[in-house]
Amino acid sequence: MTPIRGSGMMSRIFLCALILAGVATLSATRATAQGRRAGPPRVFVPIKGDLWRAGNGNWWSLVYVTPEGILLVDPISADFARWMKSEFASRFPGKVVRYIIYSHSHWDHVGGAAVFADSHPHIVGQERILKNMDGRYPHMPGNMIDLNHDGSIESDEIAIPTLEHPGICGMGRGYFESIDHDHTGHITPAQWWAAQEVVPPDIVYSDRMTLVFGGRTIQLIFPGLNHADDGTVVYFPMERVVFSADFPADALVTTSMRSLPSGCGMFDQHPLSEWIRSYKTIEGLDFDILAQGHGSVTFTKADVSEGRQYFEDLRAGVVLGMAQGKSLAELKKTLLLEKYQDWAYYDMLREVDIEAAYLNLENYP
Amino acid sequence: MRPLLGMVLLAIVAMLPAASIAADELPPPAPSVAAIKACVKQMDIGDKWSFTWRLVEIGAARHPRNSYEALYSPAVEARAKMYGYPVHVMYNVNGRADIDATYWLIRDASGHWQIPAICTIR
Repeated sequence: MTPIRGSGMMSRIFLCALILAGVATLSATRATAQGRRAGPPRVFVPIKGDLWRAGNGNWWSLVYVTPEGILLVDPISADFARWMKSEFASRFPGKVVRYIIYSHSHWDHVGGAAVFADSHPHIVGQERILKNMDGRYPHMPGNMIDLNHDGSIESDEIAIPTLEHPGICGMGRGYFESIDHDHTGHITPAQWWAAQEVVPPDIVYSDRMTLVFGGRTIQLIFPGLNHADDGTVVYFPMERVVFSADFPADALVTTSMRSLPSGCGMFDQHPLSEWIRSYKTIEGLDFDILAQGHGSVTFTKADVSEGRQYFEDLRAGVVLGMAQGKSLAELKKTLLLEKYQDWAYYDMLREVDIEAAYLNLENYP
Repeated sequence: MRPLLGMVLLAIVAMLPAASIAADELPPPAPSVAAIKACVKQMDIGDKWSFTWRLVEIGAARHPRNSYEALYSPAVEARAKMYGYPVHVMYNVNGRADIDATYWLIRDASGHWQIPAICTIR
């Protein structure tokens, strides 16, 4: 028997979808009445210079238009990729996608790369993505893990995190079944990726990589382990813009980064020290604008620093409590993190984060 | 994500007329323990899982405690203020996981009880 004690992220995807769906429904209803598509709002927004954001609800890609073609970070999904491809054709005639960079391997950000196969783009990512996509059980968000260590993805492995933290971890009812067309209750990782039309990278790097494309320099940086184990921070020094996805802004972030992080799987099975290192890596870059895979606005370095401070305060509070011999239950009652009581999801996630940090520190002291 | 989002959209569409349910209105009696257990089992679409129940404790009706609970009623102000029942559950699934959680039980636009992200009692 395996107690699932972790808490917080993929069904942040569910919860965020829920929030956005509520907002989107009215406009979608109007759109349908006018003969247009229903679904999350899709927008194309300039950032600076030749950098754009393309949004599918609260999921965002980044687009860099150069004289030699387009560099795209995160296609998100096949349907959205098809929409973007159409937008590219009308907005940037004659330019095709030459590079696709993956912010990390989670399917809700990298789905749909196959849509651009006709322009034969190079697909670039951190080297751990290859392992995550090689047929073994991948690192998944939301505490979705291989509970029985058999290498296949099973329906209860997707649902159990949901049952423990509905709206926060796991995926909503029916998601697994939407992929398990044969109703076997088992999906191989290969089937999982194929269903999302994901293509593995053909270029990978370890810690840092500089890409020169269209006369521009783009830096790819592995920040450390955080929400994912194969994340890339994409840095555009000429524009002083940085892009990453799910870290620091997770799927619940919309207009403010003052939002408590979920702690699914005791913070995605990665040491708190790695999370803090990841924040510091971004803070160490010289930039003005932080564009994220989630959030309808862009952010700044100060937002990153606040997020890092939250993790440091959380870790310090839990470490102190553990040193004082406090139980987890006592810590949940006494560690109030008052400084963050105005942040989004404070009521909901404070105890979840304390538990996640407590278990994290037990496992990664 | 589209299948999930589609489901969510359907759920939201179903909830939209909820303005007819008054805010801050004490709800009718909660569904039975058996109904709640059956609701949770709806997650087992393939009807292949085992559930070993240890506790289903329905709390007193109350206002949504925080933004998390209110978020289950997006875009409908009245529902965001509507009372519901917290339900403390403890059970095991498939011998793999001990669940100890508090679910939020609210009604949809049709008056059906639901545990958001998990199930609806029809």
